[in-house]
Amino acid sequence: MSEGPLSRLLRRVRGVRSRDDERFLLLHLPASLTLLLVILAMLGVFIAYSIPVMSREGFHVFTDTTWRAVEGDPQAEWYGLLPAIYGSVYTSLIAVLIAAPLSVSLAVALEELTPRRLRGSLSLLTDLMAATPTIIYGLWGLAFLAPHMYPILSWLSSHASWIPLFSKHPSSGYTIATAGVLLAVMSTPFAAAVIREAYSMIPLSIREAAYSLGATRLEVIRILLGMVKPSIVAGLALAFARAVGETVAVSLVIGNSMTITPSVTDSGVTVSSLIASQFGNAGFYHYMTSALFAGGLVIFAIGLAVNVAAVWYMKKWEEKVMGVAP
Amino acid sequence: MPRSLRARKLENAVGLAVIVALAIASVLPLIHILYMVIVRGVEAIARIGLYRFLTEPPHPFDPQNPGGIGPALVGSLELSGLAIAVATLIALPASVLIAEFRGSRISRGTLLLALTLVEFPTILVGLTVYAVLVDHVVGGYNMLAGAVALTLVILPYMAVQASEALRGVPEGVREAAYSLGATRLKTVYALIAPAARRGILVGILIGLARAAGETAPLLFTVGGAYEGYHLCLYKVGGAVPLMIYQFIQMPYKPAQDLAWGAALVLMTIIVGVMLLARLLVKEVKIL
Amino acid sequence: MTGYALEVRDLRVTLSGKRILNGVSFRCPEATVTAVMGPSGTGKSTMLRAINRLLDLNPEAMVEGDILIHGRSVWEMEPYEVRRRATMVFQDPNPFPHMSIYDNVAVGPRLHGLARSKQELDEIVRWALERAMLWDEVKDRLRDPPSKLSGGQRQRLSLARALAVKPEILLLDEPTANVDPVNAVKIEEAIRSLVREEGITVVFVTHMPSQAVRVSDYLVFLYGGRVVEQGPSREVALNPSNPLTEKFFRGEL
Repeated sequence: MSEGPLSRLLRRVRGVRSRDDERFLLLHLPASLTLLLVILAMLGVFIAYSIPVMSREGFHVFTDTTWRAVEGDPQAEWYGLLPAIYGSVYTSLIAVLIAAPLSVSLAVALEELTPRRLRGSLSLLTDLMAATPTIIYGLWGLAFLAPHMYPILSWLSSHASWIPLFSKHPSSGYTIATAGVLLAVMSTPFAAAVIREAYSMIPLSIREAAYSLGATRLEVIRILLGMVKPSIVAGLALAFARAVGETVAVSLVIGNSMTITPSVTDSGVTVSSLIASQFGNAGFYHYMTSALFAGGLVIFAIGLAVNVAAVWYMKKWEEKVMGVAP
Repeated sequence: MPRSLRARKLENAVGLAVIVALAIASVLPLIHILYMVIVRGVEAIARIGLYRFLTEPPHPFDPQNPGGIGPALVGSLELSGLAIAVATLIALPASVLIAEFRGSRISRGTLLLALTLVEFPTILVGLTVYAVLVDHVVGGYNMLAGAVALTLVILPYMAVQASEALRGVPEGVREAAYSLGATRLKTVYALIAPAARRGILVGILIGLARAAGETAPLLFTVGGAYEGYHLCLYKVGGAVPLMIYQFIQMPYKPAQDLAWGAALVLMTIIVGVMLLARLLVKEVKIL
Repeated sequence: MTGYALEVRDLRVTLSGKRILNGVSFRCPEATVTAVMGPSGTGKSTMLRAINRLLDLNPEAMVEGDILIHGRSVWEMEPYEVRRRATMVFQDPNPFPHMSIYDNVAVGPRLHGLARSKQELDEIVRWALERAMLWDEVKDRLRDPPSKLSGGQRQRLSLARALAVKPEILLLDEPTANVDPVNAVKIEEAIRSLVREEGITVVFVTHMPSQAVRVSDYLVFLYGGRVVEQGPSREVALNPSNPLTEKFFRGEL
């Protein structure tokens, strides 16, 4: 049988050595291509839908703070996403800062301090935390967290208003701080799972080495945490990216106001909560849908950048410390 | 500076106590969430009875007869069922490709694509599907768009999970399977994949849990209609998580009660699926 | 003071319900090397881990009997203190991969606060690396990670890390088993000079009779969880009183 160009191409894949293998590979390629197609389609859609607003406003759509929707007069419309971008990054940073000590402690407690009998049921609980739908967290944030944050934030803003973080007196419990705390609660189990996975892979010999020097349990934990530091950084970076993309829970507690403020006691907005709250009405205006897609592009870019950076950081660390060849 | 053993012991005790306290603090919210969902959910469901709550359409403005979540529940079943079926049909071959051509560029590329998609915010998937199916193909909100969006959300996760399960098949089993001399297709699907069936099944179950619980991909796709049973794929419909999102924001007590009842139903499904997954394998990977 | 750095009295260890050591007793005079030899799987490593209470970490382990360091029972001390005074080097080199060569050696002194200043710490690190016969090879790259070292160098780094906590007793668990012959010789030399010049007491576990005789002053032959024979190395090697010992020396066990 003669070898066609397709056959030659397929044979270049490692593990393809016969006609049977070629057929097998050919049959499975569409599945892989679907994934590629999905990413390309997403990128294509976001770029295409962002064009109207971009060609009108240019990059001002990302750097401007004005959000002006005018029905029936497209020329008067103007959309600046900066408050939303600021809010996304700000709330996610707060979330990661709170989640960092919580997730590290949770991972260490589960791996190091939990008796074997309890470990199964406790890790089921953390699995459940990660599997709980975001809308349930949002419901809790709306009905419990926000009303209970309000007195705390009021107190802070009346007693510590000289700190810019608490400079504004809250008008309700729906604030940047509430969104940050809720996002922290949601991302802790995820970050803890990433850290746990690395921690559980530390060889017994390294653990024994730490103990054999006469280190206390806490000192051993500190040494071992140093060893999995990249997974902590990566886990928190991924948690940050997830927080930036989180939609329904945040939109229920952040108050949705287009302002840029350092005060966490003020209400705010994030890109995804803006999309969630405005998309339904966007059809009444000429450029708003496009502006919201441009916001999607921003989340897209932040998520991709953080993910790539986290993976790159892990790789580099592995090469440097673990001696894995590049 | 020489550190006394006593100081170190104290530091050890305090440090460990702080770690345990923070760990407890991080799981307390979930416990409180479960508590709240159960208390408020039971209250809402008890008012009308479980059967009627699960089957009747909602009356969010009627305190006398608030109705139930029937249409949303059926919509959720339809959407999740379709999403799981289609996602499995694509994720399984993708995972076979990743696992069978290990070390090749195409395998690494496919895995990288799947891993990237897993981390993509689901709201972006929803917007993409809106642009293609709602805005262009159908010309209005429709259930098909919701099913496609959910499929795309769970597909990459299931592909990664299944490829890991396939990779866990011992080399001895693989060699024995290949030594029987069947075609590669038969060997993989009749002998190797069944050896990894537990892991694959867990991937499907977690995929199901996600499909049932996701809200953001449905925001701009299915529309949200709850008055009657909308099963037609080209028309608007609803789903439980979307209903919770919309009803909890209404300033009416019956609507909010319906949301809490729906949350209890949703959580019951999630917990059930998680327990089932846990029975199949010891370590469930939910990432 | 009894004159013995280490005394093991009727040590019995059970791991997951399985009896590993069945009444082991021996004594190590100060500044000597005691080789504990025996075929694989006879409980030698378990014994070392019992001595410095590393077995405490294993919830499946039950330890009975007494162990005295300079006449004081390890059960009366904190485990941290026991492990610092009787520290251990393991069969596989296990430096901390995320720390530099310098930090690997400095980690122990830092934990225990052995150095009052940076200079003092530098001195301890240098002393430990010299004692482990590694200093000349790494003095210009103390900031490198240990992954840049060869397996034998990594094992000497593990030795230096153990020495840096200034132990009285060094427990060595087949430290040359996974190391090339050149490095094995260096490690053996380093141990001899440590005993001679620093007065450290060494317990050296090995399954190789030739190495046991070469490095040690005293021999303890462990078989089936019991001490079959013990005494000064030369005597035991030349005149084994137990037929099992003879068989072991002939390589038949």
